[in-house]
Amino acid sequence: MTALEKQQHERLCEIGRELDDTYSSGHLDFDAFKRLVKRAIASVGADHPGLEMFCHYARGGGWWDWMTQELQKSPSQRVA
Amino acid sequence: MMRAEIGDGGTIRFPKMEPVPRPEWTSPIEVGVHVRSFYSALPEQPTRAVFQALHDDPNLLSFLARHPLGRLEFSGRVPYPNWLGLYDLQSRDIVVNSSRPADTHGKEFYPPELPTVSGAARNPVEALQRSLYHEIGHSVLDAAGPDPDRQVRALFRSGRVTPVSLLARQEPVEYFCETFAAYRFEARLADLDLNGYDMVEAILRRVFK
Repeated sequence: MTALEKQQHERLCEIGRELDDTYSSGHLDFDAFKRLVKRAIASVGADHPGLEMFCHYARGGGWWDWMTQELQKSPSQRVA
Repeated sequence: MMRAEIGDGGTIRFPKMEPVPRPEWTSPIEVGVHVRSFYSALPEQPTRAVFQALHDDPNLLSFLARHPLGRLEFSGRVPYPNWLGLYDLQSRDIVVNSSRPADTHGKEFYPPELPTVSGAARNPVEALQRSLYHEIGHSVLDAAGPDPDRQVRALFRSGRVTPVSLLARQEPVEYFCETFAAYRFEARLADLDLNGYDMVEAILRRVFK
């Protein structure tokens, strides 16, 4: 694993902990969901497969559509 | 008719095409019983080969008959080419990425550096089988109800686990789904993560009864 991959993984673990904490405390509303998805995209790029973790939390009406649109419009961080 | 190509490494390289309805290729899964619909962008042989994993899993088939999936799709229609799959909690739709990059399988089962359990598959078909199980794991956990969900989260936070992959380290739901896939495909799971193994067994006892 490269240093960049390790750093990205650590960021996703940190966001994953916050996602779990927010959900478990009953505070995962659409605004919190959007904030965490955006932070993850900014941290690792929209093409990181680890972003799949948000799928299980897209629970409200319109959350899924918003997330997929946000992913498609966001830039990748993949280096050719 | 599309045919799978044989790549330089001797493995099947799946051609990229639009998924079309293939209800006749899903055995032992039945469209209308276990899934609402099925679409595949793969040729017939690899599509059928992916479903072979379910032939010796009657309990999971029985579960799916009671909790049918929505639209199941083997295609490249994921947000980015390196995403391996998707599960939509509301519709119960699953996409397994059949156009996944060749470098996403064939890795050593070494959890500290293994991106996903599907990465330790020996060939592309097994990689798709593992990803299919991972995505079905989301459905299993959802069907288990709030108490098991809380228990998975508590176990994950306890630090008494050894996640099977990097994805499994990210958060508790992915931990469960990755461990569920490893339960089916990795004989060493109990040695590696006994608490994770017991967690899967406890949840399966609950949803399979």
